[in-house]
Amino acid sequence: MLDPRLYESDTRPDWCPGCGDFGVLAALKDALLKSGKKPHEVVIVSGIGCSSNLPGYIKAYGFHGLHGRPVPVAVGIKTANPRLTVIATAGDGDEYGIGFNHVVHAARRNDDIKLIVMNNEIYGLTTGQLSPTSRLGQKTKTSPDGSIIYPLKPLPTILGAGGTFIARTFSGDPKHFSWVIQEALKHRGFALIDAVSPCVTWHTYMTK
Amino acid sequence: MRNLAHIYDEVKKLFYRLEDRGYKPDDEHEAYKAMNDPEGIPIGIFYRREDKPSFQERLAEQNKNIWPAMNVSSLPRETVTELLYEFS
Repeated sequence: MLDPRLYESDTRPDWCPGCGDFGVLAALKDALLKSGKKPHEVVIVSGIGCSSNLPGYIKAYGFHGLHGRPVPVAVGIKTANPRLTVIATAGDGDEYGIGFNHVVHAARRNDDIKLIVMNNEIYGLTTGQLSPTSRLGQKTKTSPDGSIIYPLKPLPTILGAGGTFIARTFSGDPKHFSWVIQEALKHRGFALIDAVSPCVTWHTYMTK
Repeated sequence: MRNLAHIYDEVKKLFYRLEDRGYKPDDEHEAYKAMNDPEGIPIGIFYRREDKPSFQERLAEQNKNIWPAMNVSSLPRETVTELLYEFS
């Protein structure tokens, strides 16, 4: 295996203590090392949100893009240089809301990119508004009396769109998470990993 | 500060691993059922098929047949650099 320090960035994560995204970052580094990928072979692309700061915390090529747009950027990078391993990382607001159309079409085309969606069921960076995966009855700043909107089911939607690798894992189970990413990296095509990643600050059902 | 250490242990109990139940991710209908399991939250690989080539693979194949000269990686670096200077 490669040197475990290979992917260590000089920048420390500024996520809240206890944030699920720490587990995602650790699992991603572990999976890349175990897959034998070297930092110059890897590009991490993100959108906007707490989770989208991830490319700054890992020593590989990175692109911190626009809200909801990591997938088109990742597709462009992969198409221009197919030798690169391209991984898009973002949150549920970013990928299941603002940019979900891109996810559907990337699945349909079977673009050879890997998408990790850190799903905490809320907009965390903007301090707690309803997201597409928020639960029925969930109280947020934009649904103070409880959400009356049924949550999106992204995995069946992507299955229907022609997705060829669809998985879910949990940021509190880094071994399982790393294994899922390693399998996604072996896959020749679009891989969606729905990562349950608790927000300990704005989604209190998990933290009370 | 709140003690958050218990959260992950508590949340972890909500999940079960598909692979522990002998689940095979090769059937689209089974994947749909698993994704909508009302009894718990499954984690693991729901669906996987490897017989469908990626867009980039299909594009490379098409470019090879139609536009052999467009294979930039086969060109000498100097040629590409000269071309780029034309746009500067």
